[in-house]
Amino acid sequence: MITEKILNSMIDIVGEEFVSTDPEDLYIYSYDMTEEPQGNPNAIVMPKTPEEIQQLLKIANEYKIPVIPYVAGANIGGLTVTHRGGMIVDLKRMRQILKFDAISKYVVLEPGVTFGHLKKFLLENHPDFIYSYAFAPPYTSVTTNALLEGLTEFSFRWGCMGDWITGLEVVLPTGEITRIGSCATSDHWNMKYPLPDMTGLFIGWQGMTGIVTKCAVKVVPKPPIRKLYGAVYSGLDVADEVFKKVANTDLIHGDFTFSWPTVLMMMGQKHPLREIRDDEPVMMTGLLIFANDKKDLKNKERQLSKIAQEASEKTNQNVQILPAELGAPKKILEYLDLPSNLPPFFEFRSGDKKGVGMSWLGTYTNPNNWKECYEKGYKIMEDHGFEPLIFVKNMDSGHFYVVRFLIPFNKAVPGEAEEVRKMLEELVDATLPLGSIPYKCPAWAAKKVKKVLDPAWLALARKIRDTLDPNHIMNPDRWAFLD
Amino acid sequence: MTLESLKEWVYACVRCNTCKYIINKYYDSCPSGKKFQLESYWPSGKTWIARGLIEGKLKFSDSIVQKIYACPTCGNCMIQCELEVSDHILEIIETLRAEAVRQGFGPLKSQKAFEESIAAEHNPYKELHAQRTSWVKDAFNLKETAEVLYFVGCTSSYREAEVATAMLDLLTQIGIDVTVSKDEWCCSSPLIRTGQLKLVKELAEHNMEMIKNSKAKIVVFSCAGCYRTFKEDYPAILGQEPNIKLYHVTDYLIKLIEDGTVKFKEDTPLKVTYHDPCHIGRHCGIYDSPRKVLNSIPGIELIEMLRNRENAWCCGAGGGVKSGFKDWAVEIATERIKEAEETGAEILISSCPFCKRNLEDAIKATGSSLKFMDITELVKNRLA
Ligand SMILES: Cc1cc2nc3c(=O)[nH]c(=O)nc-3n(C[C@H](O)[C@H](O)[C@H](O)COP(=O)(O)OP(=O)(O)OC[C@H]3O[C@@H](n4cnc5c(N)ncnc54)[C@H](O)[C@@H]3O)c2cc1C
Ligand code: SF4
Ligand code: SF4
Repeated sequence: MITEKILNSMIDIVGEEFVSTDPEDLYIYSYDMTEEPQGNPNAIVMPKTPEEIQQLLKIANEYKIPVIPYVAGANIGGLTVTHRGGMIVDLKRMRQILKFDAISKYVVLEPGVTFGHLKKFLLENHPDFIYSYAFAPPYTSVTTNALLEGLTEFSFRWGCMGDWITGLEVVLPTGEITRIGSCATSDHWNMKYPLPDMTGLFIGWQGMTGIVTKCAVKVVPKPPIRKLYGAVYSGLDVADEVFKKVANTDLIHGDFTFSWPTVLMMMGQKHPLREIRDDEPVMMTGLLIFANDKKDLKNKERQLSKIAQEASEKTNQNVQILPAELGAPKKILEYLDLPSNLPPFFEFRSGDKKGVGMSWLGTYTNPNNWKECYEKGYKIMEDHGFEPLIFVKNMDSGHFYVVRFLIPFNKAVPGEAEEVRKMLEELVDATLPLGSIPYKCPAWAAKKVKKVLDPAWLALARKIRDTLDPNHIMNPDRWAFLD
Repeated sequence: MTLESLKEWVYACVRCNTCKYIINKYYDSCPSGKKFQLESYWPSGKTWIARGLIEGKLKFSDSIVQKIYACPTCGNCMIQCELEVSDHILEIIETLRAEAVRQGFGPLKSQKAFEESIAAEHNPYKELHAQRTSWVKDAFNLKETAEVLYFVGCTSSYREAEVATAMLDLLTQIGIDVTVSKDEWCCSSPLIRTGQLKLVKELAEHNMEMIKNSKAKIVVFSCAGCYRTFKEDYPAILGQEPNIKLYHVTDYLIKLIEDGTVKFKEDTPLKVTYHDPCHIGRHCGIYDSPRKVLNSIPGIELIEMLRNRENAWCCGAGGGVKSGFKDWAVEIATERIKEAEETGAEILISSCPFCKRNLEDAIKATGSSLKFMDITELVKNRLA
């Protein structure tokens, strides 16, 4: 409950126009784009500074009010939907890019800075540097993406985005403002070492351990040549062989692999998809090569061809790799120029009833098992009458893979959201035993993860939470295994 | 349109956030969201308010009214949103307003006065109808009927008479058989945009009858809002397309430049920039004509603002904002003035008296050295 007295205190902190308990505001923030059922907050508050957040958290602690950090609410995990009321702390007003260091190659961002704004900043001010953007809508937060251990353009080479964080400023649940990494000793935000690495207290926690108010992330120099190639595979074995082989070279910086139905969707085809013919590929990969000069590029192309040929010979399946501009439809190339929006994804099942919705099961998985995950998920999706829109990605040079089952659905069709949840549950049940772990993990999936969790891990996680957030005010619905 | 009729579209916004900024350019696009920030002020928020109302989970209230009226209906969201719902966002906002009025919650207090004034005097400015053409100089020698009717609109008739005078000067100087009608009534744009639909049909019918009586074959508009209303709203209101040619002055001038009727003199060089009025730009797709007109005038150098054409930042006057949120309207225009100043232009040109009004207010408020001119004024000054 947020009483009038509490509300007045919130208003004193951020100003009247940035606090709302209007039913329409609560309603809008009570949903996200997924099938997560409605969950009403009691208030929305939009602070501008860490100090304002600090004061808000002090009040929240005093009155034991749940606090849900929010930027765009586009995480696809129901992670900003609260089922225990509380205040949504919408951080959109915190949109400054505070520092750029070209020598140690990082940028310090407030949490409201989106991929689009970072791209604009780099293009206009530091065109020799690039960032690794997610395949997500342009106006979603760079900071939350990193905190959620996101997967992005160059994750093939440099891993998930939690690894790109070099410094944090956090308002702890109890209201202290602290800095993590080298920025705790000076105003250099370039490394999280060699102090004990405490970034892990905030990365992957879905906003349960504090509100990050500054986040330093790496930027990388723009390579002289960046070229995209398209690979199509006649079977999963040859794809597996190519994935493994390229992971052991320094050829590739980025990859995105799509099941063939996903390719058809990106080209504009809609549900219900036509039958896939036997002579069509099973998957397509976009492979991104960085090169220093034309000679380097030629050399890398040659190595790539060799890998393709050897993979083909070993598996008796075909793979064809071509420069993207020769093979890939223009539309797909546009979508791969990140950050980009993805209307065909959202509207795949919009049909006559014009409803949209988007969910997924995204997993980080063991490279040995990705094929089995893929095949099991493919069948589950088909059995539920959903096209197998599946996305695979090689992470951190093959240390782990992404297998993501993408589920556009139609909120205007009664019962479809419930069907999606059922299917998602089956997907988790099928992939968890294979070593897959859901990322941006929804609360219901966390309960399933609990079954395979080492109890000692769980005890430690609980201890950390209890220490940082004794009143359990921070986004308390998340990581439901902690309850 | 009824709230129920929106049912098809209220589930079509996925909340991807793309409408919040200019796609692939990342500049601000939505004056309402930029100012008020809460999700309910952004385009998607308005769609979701409609959804909540349809589902019965929300009921009209003063706070909903505040949110649905805090929007100049600039239509930038229809451009930035890439989903099918994009074509329906404005319709959703306007239908919400009409429903708010029907249920006794809308419009905002200051906007209610439009309806009373229009009912009494056929204009929203509380001016006498008898004074509507008082700006017309005797020298124009206007006839009752003519080949071309200039539909002046209330703003030019009562507040920005220089635009109306320039327009008539221009057309008569080049020998167009043109007239204006004393019997012109408000086009109804201020009513439609604020959801006050009671008088709209009567106004539309009257104006079509007035045009018929003028025996004109062509109607020309210098007001972007009037043009939009005739072109886009009248067919729906009257159930048929007007059987007469409707031109915004920028399109009309192109015709006259191309057939040699309009010729320009050589004159001093002048750097100008152009503001796209939402009502002819995003609402009707007129972007090229004003630019072609400017580029065909000797000495004029057109320098584009950062946000131009379909991405133009709104002047802030439309959709009832000028009357409902006076200070904010000028704040929006101030952002546009700053952008215009950054081009280095001496003159800011536009093609709508209502944009003129608000942009000039911002020029005054900021003490900017920029001058504003309607495109008709510039063209008239530069006639051979
Ligand atoms: C179509 C689509 C495709 C996507 N593709 C990708 C992809 O390829 N890769 C990828 O990684 N992601 C992807 N995403 C997910 C998502 O867009 C990103 O991870 C994104 O950056 C989330 O940003 P947001 O602003 O929406 O965060 P929100 O949803 O607002 O917040 C996400 C979580 O972070 C918490 N949080 C918010 N702010 C803070 C803070 N300051 N401190 C602490 N916790 C905070 C919230 O409480 C919540 O738990 C995709 C999303 C969509 C819709
Ligand atoms: S209106 Fe369009 S762009 Fe905006 S959130 Fe909805 S679907 Fe996305
Ligand atoms: S019409 Fe303009 S101000 Fe209104 S919601 Fe759309 S973009 Fe924002």
